[in-house]
Amino acid sequence: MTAALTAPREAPDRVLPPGPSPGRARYLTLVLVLVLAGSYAGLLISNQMTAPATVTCLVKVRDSGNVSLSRFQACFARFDSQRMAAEAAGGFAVLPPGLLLMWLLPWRLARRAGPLTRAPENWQQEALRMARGGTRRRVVVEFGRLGLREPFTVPTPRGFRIILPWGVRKLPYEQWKAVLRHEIEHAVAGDVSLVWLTRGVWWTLPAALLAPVLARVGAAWADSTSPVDTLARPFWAEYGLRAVGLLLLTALMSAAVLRSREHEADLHAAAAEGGALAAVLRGNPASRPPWWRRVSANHPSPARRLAALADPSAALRVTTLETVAAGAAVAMTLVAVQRIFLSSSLDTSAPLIAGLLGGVLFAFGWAGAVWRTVGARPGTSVRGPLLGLAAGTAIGMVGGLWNTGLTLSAPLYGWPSLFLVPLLVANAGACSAALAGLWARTGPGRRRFPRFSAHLANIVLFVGALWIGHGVAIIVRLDIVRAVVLGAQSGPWTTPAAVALAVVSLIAWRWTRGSGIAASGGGLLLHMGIGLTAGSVAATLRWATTPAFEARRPFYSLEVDCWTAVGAGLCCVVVLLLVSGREGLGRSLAVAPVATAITSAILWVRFVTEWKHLALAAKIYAVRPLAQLALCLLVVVLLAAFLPSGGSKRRFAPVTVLAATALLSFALVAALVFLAPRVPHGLLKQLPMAATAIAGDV
Amino acid sequence: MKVFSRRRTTFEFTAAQLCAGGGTGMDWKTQVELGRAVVRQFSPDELQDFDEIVVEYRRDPVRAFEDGPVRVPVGMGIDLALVTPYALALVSLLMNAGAGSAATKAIEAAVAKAAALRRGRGSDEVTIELDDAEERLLLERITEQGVALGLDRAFARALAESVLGALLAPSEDEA
Repeated sequence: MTAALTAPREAPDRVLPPGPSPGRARYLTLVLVLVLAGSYAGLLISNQMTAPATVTCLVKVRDSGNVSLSRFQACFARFDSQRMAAEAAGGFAVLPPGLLLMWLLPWRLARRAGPLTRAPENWQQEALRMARGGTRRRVVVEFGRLGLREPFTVPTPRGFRIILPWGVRKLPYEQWKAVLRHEIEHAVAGDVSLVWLTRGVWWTLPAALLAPVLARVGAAWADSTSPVDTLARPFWAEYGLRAVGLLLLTALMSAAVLRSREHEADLHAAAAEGGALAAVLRGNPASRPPWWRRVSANHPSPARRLAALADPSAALRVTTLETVAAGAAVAMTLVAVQRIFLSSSLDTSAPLIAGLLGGVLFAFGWAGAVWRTVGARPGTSVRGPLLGLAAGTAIGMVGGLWNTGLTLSAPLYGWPSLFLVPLLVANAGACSAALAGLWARTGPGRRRFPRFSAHLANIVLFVGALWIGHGVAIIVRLDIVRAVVLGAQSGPWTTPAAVALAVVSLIAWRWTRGSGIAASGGGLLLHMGIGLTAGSVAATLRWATTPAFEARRPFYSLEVDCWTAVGAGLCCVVVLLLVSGREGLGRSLAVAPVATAITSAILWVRFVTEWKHLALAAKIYAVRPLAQLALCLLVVVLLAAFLPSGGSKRRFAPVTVLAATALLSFALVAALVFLAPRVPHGLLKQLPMAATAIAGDV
Repeated sequence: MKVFSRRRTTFEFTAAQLCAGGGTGMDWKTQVELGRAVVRQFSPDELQDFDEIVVEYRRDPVRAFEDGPVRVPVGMGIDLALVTPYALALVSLLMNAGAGSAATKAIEAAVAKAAALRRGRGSDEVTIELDDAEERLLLERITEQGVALGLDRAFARALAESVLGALLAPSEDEA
């Protein structure tokens, strides 16, 4: 009946790598993207119903002689509520049936596996003992019919039913306990309902996607036009392709998450029950399925599961392909939410709301997997997942259902956003991975995942990247020069960006203090020294070399001060990357903001007796340099991920490192002082209003 | 080796065909004992719960096989299938074969050998009037019935060989 598998090499430490499971966030992303696809189907039906009104408004605007989008929107405003209702109805056409299927599908499966008989009391007690501390919901163990061959868990309104085949009783005590433990771990992971919800929504969506097509065909029949000609139009072909692509992507991603959760449950079971689970797996066929079966399978093959038990970190390592899929799904959600809000009264908040949602999904769905990878093997390169994240985000921004008929003519926030947003998201990913590396080196205590700090840092990074990315893309679309000059100074994200960088820096300091960084880059004092040196050298030099004409050009002076402070921070980044290779990036996130803040504070003190609005000036000096530094980091740190690992290479004496920092800061400020007067004056006119106001008060 | 065929077929057997003697009497006892012999040879792990499985099987033998194997999309992904129901069903189907057929001869031989062993005499005293062609035919028939029950053909063949082996050459343990 079975073929014995070759025994894998025994793992020295057969435990789940520390770090969060990205499973739940990915399921949530899938559910969101599928429900939002339903909303789009609703929008299409609404568009068909309002087509005559659209034509009337277009003609009206054309005839008025003043053709503008705002005039059209004003004319069409009376249909806004109808459109929003249709979008909501589209979502409702998917979500409630999906929720219903979330209960119906497992109920049907349990029924097919029946008649079910309650397992003996010792099984119930064992299950209760295993679930204790993991879930407070009720767990019941039952046996299925004799033909059932595979254990499974289904959710019930009050808890979980673990349904086992009779065949489990032929296993030795330790092995059936391991099988039971595996199923209990699914219940404890808390994603059993999400698995079924995703399946339910996925099965509901095709009907919703078909509705606008049928409505169009019906309208064609009513107009006595050929439905074939109507559906042969490029829009519907594109719609069909995107819909199939979405269903395929979500199905493959769902299968990938299912496989990953099997590994997680296996590892928990193996950690608790020893090698019994491996023995169960060895009793299954050792065949290696072809690649397409492996990609679409809901379960990893027994051979793969045995390999995962032997080397958990390799099996759960985040892959490039999976990050492309995750990035694409989040970006599709992002675009859908933006388009929904853009056509509502909250249009100006669309990038902020979408950025918040997308950032959270990235933080849990992408960063979770990366932190677990890096936590398992400190120093692991995540270049592939970073590029995958950028590629996936770009694909999702153009490939989603909500872009049907629009991508080639009007991408959301213009073409620059298709480059800027993925770039900034990938850079945020690089920062997140760098922080993960810092945490992973904090010694024995790292086995406990710092839930609050890590999630906070990741949310801050990804939300910040999306806000700034979209904001800068909007400015670039209007005026590329202004975008380059102003950078992060003039958006609504300026203060949040500065606060976010401060938060990231604090978290990075926490792990820098606790990490064994002396091995490759020096101790805590050295890192503080780098920040102090860069900050004080830059500020002192800038103070000493302030030309006399700056008294007449105060906001010019402010600009140079800000860039000096940013430069001090960047000096720290460069020095730490040179000293420690890509491992230096995490520490840079701790040190660079400190250097910038020190420089900024000293330069603010320089005019402390002259400021008319001391507090306002203090706020500007506190916020702007940090916001600018945040933008700089979000544009360039991705490159650091491609540097070689410097942890085991040459060590530098602290004095050499500090001297290099001082020298670099000196050179940078000297270059700035030399170049600043040569910047065309026109560019400086583009300073933000706040800066102009404060400068005028000096 | 795959255990089950993915092919879904209409289940063609009735409870009466799957439980010899309607689940009572001498025929049922014979079916259970011959089934036990097959399981002892093919999947001895199941012997400890054999009697409980038999009770469950007898309660509704058709339910064990109808609708094909339950495919669980979010299950554990390991195969813990039982052989016992298939062994019992195959033995019953052999016992239901027409009088004078190869199947009947094999069953009669198995019963006689078991009885001889129980009486403490050597099973060699029992002669089996089954030539090679009949044996091949019987093997083929059991395999087909295994497939009809939902088994993968290769697995059904292996089980059929075991069934035939258990019937024609009972071990001393079975006495």
